Amino acid sequence: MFSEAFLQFLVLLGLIWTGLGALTLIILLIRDWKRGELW
Amino acid sequence: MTLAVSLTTGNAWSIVIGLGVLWVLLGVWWGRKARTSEGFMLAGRNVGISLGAATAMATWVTSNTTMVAPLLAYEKGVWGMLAYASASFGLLLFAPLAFRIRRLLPEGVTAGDFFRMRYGRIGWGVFLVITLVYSITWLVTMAIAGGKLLEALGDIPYAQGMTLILVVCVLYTLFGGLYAVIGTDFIQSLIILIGIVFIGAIVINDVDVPKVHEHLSREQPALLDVLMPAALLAIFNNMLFGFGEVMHNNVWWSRAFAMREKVAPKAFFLSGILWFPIPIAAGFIALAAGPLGVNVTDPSKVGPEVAEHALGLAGLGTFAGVIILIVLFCSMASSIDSLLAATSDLLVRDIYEGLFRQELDPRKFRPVAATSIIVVSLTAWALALSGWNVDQVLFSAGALVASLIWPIIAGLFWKRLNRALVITGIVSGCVVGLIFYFKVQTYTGALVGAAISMMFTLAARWIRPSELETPAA
Amino acid sequence: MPGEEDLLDFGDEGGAVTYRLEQAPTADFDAPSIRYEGPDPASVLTGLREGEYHFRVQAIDADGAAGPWSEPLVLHVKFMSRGHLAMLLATGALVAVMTIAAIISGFVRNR
Repeated sequence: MFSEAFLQFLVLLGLIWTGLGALTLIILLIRDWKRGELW
Repeated sequence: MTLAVSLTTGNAWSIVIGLGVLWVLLGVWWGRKARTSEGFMLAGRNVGISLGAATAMATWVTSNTTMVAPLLAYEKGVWGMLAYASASFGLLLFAPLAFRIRRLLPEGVTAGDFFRMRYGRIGWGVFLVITLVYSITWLVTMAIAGGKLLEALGDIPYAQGMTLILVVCVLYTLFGGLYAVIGTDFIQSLIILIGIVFIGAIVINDVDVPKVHEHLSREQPALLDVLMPAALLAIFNNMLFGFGEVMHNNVWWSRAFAMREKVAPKAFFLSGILWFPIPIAAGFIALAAGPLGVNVTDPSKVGPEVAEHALGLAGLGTFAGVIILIVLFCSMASSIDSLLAATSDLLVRDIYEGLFRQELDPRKFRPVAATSIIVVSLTAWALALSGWNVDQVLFSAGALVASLIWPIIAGLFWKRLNRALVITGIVSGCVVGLIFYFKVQTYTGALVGAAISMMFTLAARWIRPSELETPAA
Repeated sequence: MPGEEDLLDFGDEGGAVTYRLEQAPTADFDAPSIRYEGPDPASVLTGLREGEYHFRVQAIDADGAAGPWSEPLVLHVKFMSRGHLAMLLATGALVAVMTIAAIISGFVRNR
């Protein structure tokens, strides 16, 4: 059976990773924009 | 069955129309950059990594991801979520493919160009049949999902809601082409990611993980099992289904052609990384149903029901419907617009130019492009209204698209192959895969299709192969 | 049905305010637990391990008076044989691994 610790880890992983994803896209967008490399 | 809604019909209409007007205005504005057919279909072949990664990720997030991930977690537990997350591997694996696609087809426009080049008119024809069936079916399931969502959340009659969502997506795709699709995808991707984190955080706040684990161990222990047969038996079938979907479809090939050459592989790889945690974050909220005391009467609605309950506990009850509608609408729109654009590109490039051998003036493309978008959307609209059980068709299409995996790998990377054998492999994979899907078990269709076509393609490498033209290094 | 969901539909007791769904491992309902108590006339069960489960439901009216128990329902949960599962997983793993290997090797050789 998956342990409580694993479930805790998985849930936090899912949320934090997803959040970091949004942040990454925003940072990359700003960088592309500054370099004129958006599209 | 309707949810215990916090959204009035008027509000539901306002949200969809409000967001719709925003997308259409952006579509018109960005659409002015599209002066040629290449601009319209491929956004000038200059898309950067932020927009590239976002559009690939957002397009692969469908309403299935946000609605079915909780359902899978509820039925198949932890493995259900992890298995779904593995659908991101298709995006990751498309990165090396994208690299090679740009080398092999520097002026390429659609996936059809590749099949025509490598497998002749017959292989091209087989590919077109498979991809049009799959693409239209996918589009129809999205439209249906949209109609059902608006009906469940806002009491809008199915036909009206479904039509509204399609009309919004058609309008901005029509005006703005791939520029509009990619631009709106970026905004939609942020809304999806932030929305899921927000709802997930609220759920965790209402019920902590130890309580969830304790409740599941007691009442739903199989969901925590490491060896849960129901979850495991579909894992590789669904993985191969996902590979087939991403590797063959023009939605992804058009993006590979639209991004700058060095950017394309990185953007796809990044999109896979971004997509991976979404089924986990969305799926978990269903595991909290029991401990939150939410009685599930329709498992396909477990996600929104738990989200609504959790938001209510946090005092955000009135906004629950709004947030859920916006996140789900963005998930659908980001896929519908991509399908509309990519499928109509196939009609323009492969059917109009290719099959009917018409000359397309690159600067006078708009009437042709517009017509094809309208043809695709009308077909989807009619099928979505027909009440036909389209999910069945979509899942059975796993056998079809998985049969294209090895032919694509071989056509991209190998130096010689027996074209006829590969094409035979595609058709055999489709036929046998479908037989297994309908007669044996649904979770064997894609696996069998991939396996059969793999065997034929491997044989095609050694049995009377012909040389393949390769680009200058 | 191997580990999927099961919908228990209690039917409609006119005038009932609440339904109580009881679950027990044996037919005599010796060690019962309350699975659900509330206004919905149905409930979906998931996550049950292999085995035998007994269910019965009663309706409770507005005064709190409980009606008679329904006819009990027996649910047998049985998973697919381990042998079948192993074969399926092995085939799937083989095709998946070969596919991934072909892509990676093709990419590396053609760089």
